[in-house]
Amino acid sequence: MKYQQQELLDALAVDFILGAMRGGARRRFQQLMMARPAVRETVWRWEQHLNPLAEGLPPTPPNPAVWQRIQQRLGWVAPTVSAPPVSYRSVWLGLAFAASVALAAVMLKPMLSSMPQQDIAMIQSSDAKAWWLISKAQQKLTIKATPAVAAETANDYELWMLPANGQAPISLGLLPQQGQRELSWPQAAEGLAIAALAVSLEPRGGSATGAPTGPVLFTAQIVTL
Amino acid sequence: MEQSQQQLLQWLFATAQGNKQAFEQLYQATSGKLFSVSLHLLRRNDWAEDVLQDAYVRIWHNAGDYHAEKGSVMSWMISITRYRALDLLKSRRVKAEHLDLSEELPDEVQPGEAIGLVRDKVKLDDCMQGLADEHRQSIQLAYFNGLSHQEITAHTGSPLGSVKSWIRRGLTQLKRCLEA
Repeated sequence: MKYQQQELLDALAVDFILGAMRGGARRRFQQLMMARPAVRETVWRWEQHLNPLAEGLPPTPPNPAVWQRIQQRLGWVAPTVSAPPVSYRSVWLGLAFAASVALAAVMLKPMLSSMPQQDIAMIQSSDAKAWWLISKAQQKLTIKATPAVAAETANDYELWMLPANGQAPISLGLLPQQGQRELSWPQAAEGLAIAALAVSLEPRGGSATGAPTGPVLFTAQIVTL
Repeated sequence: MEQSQQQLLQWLFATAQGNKQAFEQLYQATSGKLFSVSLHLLRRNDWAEDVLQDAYVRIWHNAGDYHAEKGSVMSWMISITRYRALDLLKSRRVKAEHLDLSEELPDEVQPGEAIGLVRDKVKLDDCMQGLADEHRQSIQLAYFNGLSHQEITAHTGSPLGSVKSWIRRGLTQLKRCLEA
């Protein structure tokens, strides 16, 4: 390989490792790594040059729950929460929505047809049982718990709005474990487009940090009627 | 906790054979470092934990793909973690929003207490010390915090062209020093 080509490869490998390469360029480079040994060897060499930098970082012991969740993901232990947990990953990376939300919207439409424009969402478990029905009209959320909700005495279910602009989730309040509850739409969420709703399991009284701290159990999309 | 490359290699080899206990030992020995790597890049506990989970699930599944040409075991695991964290950073486009740059990076990486890469690290430290301050700082901001050239520009107040050439020249010099 010519000297100049190696120079170029070095520069590309470093951009790749540092994350300076984006989108299509990154994918093309990954393809090149698979196809050309010289390319991937250059990347490996630079990884070995740079990764010792991370050695200087003082270790931060992660929460023991992380090890639990890894074992759950590998199927070694059963989930510990009462409902099948959805990992944060699906909330943050994919926002994979239940296809059945659309169906639920159709079913609910007759009930709501006499009302002005409404946003609704149905929060349901992975076995397709509806846990909560949520409707939003103006600045008010009306939430109805179904009998399917698994009673939690030590914890509360907290509802979050995930803004479409990618900013941090905004708490909408605690979900009722039975019956109906009304929540007012928070000021902070005013005027923001909604990517999805999420429900996390939190200590009683809700997350103290203002961000979800427990496992995210459900996500749901909002449907406008 | 100090672990030799040899020990990590044994655990990783056993992991590749499906030994869960070895995988747990590997996790216990390395997760603190990898969590720091993830936390530095993402600066949010929940996302950093999420990346850590993904990284170890990958390590479990890909343990058999490791070989020495990819670097030390620790370096290989750090790369898996960093790429996962960079993906998340990109997909959330959150860098500018959540990054708190008031918390400065230590100017020098801390000595000692290393896993596996001790010799490499001592050499790297020496070579990093040989760089001009702005070259070193730009490389550290890009490596530890995943900052783009533009973000480093905003952070240091230096022109974009300078930041780009600092990183490039710094790394060229670093390579010369490391491979000497």
